[in-house]
Amino acid sequence: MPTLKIVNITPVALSGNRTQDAEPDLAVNPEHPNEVVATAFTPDPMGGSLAPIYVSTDGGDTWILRSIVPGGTPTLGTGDISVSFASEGGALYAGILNAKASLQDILRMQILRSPGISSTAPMEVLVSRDRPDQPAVVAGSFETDGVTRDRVYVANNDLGRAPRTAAVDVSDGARTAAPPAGFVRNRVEQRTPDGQDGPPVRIALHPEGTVYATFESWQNATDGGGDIVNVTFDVVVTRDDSGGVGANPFQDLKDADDSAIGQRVATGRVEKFNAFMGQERLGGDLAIAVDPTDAARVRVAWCDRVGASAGVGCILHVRHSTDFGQTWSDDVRTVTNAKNPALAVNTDGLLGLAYQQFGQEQWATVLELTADDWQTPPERHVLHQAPANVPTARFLPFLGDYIRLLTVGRDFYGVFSGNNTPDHANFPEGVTYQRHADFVSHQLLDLDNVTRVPPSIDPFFYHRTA
Amino acid sequence: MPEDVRELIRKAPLSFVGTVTRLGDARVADVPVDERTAVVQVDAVLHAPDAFKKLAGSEVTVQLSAELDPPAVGDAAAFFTDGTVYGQGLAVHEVGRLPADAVQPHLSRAARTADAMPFSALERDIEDEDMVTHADEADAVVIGVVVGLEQAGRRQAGGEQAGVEGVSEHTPNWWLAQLDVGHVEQGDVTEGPITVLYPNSRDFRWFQAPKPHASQEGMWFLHATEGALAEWAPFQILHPDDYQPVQKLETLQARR
Repeated sequence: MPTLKIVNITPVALSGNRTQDAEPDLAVNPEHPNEVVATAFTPDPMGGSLAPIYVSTDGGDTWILRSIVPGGTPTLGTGDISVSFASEGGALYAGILNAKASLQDILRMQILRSPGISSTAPMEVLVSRDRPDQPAVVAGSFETDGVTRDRVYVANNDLGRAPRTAAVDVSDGARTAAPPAGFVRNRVEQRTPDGQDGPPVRIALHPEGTVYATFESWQNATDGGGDIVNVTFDVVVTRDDSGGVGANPFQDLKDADDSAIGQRVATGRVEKFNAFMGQERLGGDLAIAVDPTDAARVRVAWCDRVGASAGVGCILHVRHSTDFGQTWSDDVRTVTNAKNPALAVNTDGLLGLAYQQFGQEQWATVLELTADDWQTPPERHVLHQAPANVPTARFLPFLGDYIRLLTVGRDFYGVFSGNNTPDHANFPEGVTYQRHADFVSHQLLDLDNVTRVPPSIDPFFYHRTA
Repeated sequence: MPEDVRELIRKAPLSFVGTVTRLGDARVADVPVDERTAVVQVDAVLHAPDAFKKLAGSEVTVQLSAELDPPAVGDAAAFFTDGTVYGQGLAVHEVGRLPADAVQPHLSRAARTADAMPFSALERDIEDEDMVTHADEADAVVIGVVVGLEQAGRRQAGGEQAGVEGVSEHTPNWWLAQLDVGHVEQGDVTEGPITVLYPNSRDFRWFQAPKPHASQEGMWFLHATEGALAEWAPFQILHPDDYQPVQKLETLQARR
């Protein structure tokens, strides 16, 4: 019988926390799934120069914060952060945007390594490069000539290489090599977009080595006034059958129509980049997952705007391919006014889709599980639902530009950020809080368990067992 | 000779008066324990980040400094600390220590004033010192009123007109504020209108930068623009402390 648990991961010692801990990410150690690391825009609680990670060694039941991420500032923590464990050996990898550099008007991506979850030393900087945006990390371990190596992918939008900015940094020996640990930058955009590609570039890694990358190829981008850019984009998938470590990486999938590298899953899609839905900004929502039992089966999700730039809202789409990304279905699932798609497939071939949906002035975070691409009703869980106007956003993104869903074996693990008001009505599937909270009066309480603490944005972990 | 309180506040983000209840023990899992690991009952918080101002009454695990004589069980002292682990409880490492008597005047003063914390007055003093340092690093310091605001250039993929970045969630969205300068405290600036560049984005990367608004009067710490940004304006404001209330001018002048 499947079980689902949801945990607010802010620990007791941070009961007085008021920060906007948005844009979460998650890593689960495949060898020891009780070892879990989560991240968010959480500054060091004491204002130090290392940003924290959230650590659990009991499967997500209890959490501690440990500040080991370089590049933090007293009030910002790190910028964008993404984490992944290697599939063997326990090494933890991260891709970040260095917050200290941000204060000097520098967009600086860094790739980091830690030997394991118990390490308290600052993560080692393997790569530091200016101008890439939104690093997204996926790690695996592969045996070559009797030696197991960590193969690490850091997808990013390298604005320093315009116009073909969608990129993936890959190392085939990241575990022990000295910096830069063998990382090589690979361009995955082979066409010529209008100035650049979109911020999200995502990776799906099959256990036997086939690796997919997906990105939004911007075909037209024009000023929409203020912060807004009107974008027309294609959703493109590329593939490498040799793990992205051979010659001509990410060039094994050619488009059936124009024979260019990279199959277009959808074309002429529109978004208003930086437009708002509630207090949250929109733009650049993308996810990809490969079936661990069949490298040919791959799914992609993205969000766009129906009715072009004059339209409204944000529609989430999911499509699938059963032939290594060469041909694609029509939409197998659409969700209205949704963002932050996250996809994962377990070893039973069960597909998970998590997303955050805006409606009736609430944000809802939903997990759907389907074995037949929604031909029959999915197993659906509303993980969280809460007023969208609480708290007042201090910065953007309000909830985050991404969330994450993972599988280890048959289990699903995920993370999202949301309004932390302790109200059982906000958690239809139940929840456990670490920090002091009174679910009767719907109040967060400070360390003294008396003083009221205003609601803020917290990260939440969830685990659905098979 | 005890270390200066101000220096300890600068080095340690959290201080409290506490009583040692156990040695060689911890209240937080994942903390290595040795003979210098102490459990300390917090009697009064002296200064702390917001999230820890209600720590009094809690037990804290303190890794005692190897450079100081360890206290005995039952001893009370003022502990100056930095955080290490945040879990079911709080673990810190000791940066410095003073006798409890040494901070008693601060506790007494806080009880008689509206100060939130016993060291609030010292923290304000340190903030003023930092403001002077920040002013010294600026290319100009002026008193001025915001008389105009407009977007600088147009957004475009691959890069803003005079910027170097392409479009991302973190693009600064540069705006221009026109200040009517009434007083020049520092720098090669004349009284009258001057244009200042600022990031108007509310993105995580930029939300703490000052966002001038119409008719706002303030003391502005201006920093010279470089490269492409200089095409738009001679100065920019980026740092959260680049705006100060105009009343801070007197503090700045008094401390120089």
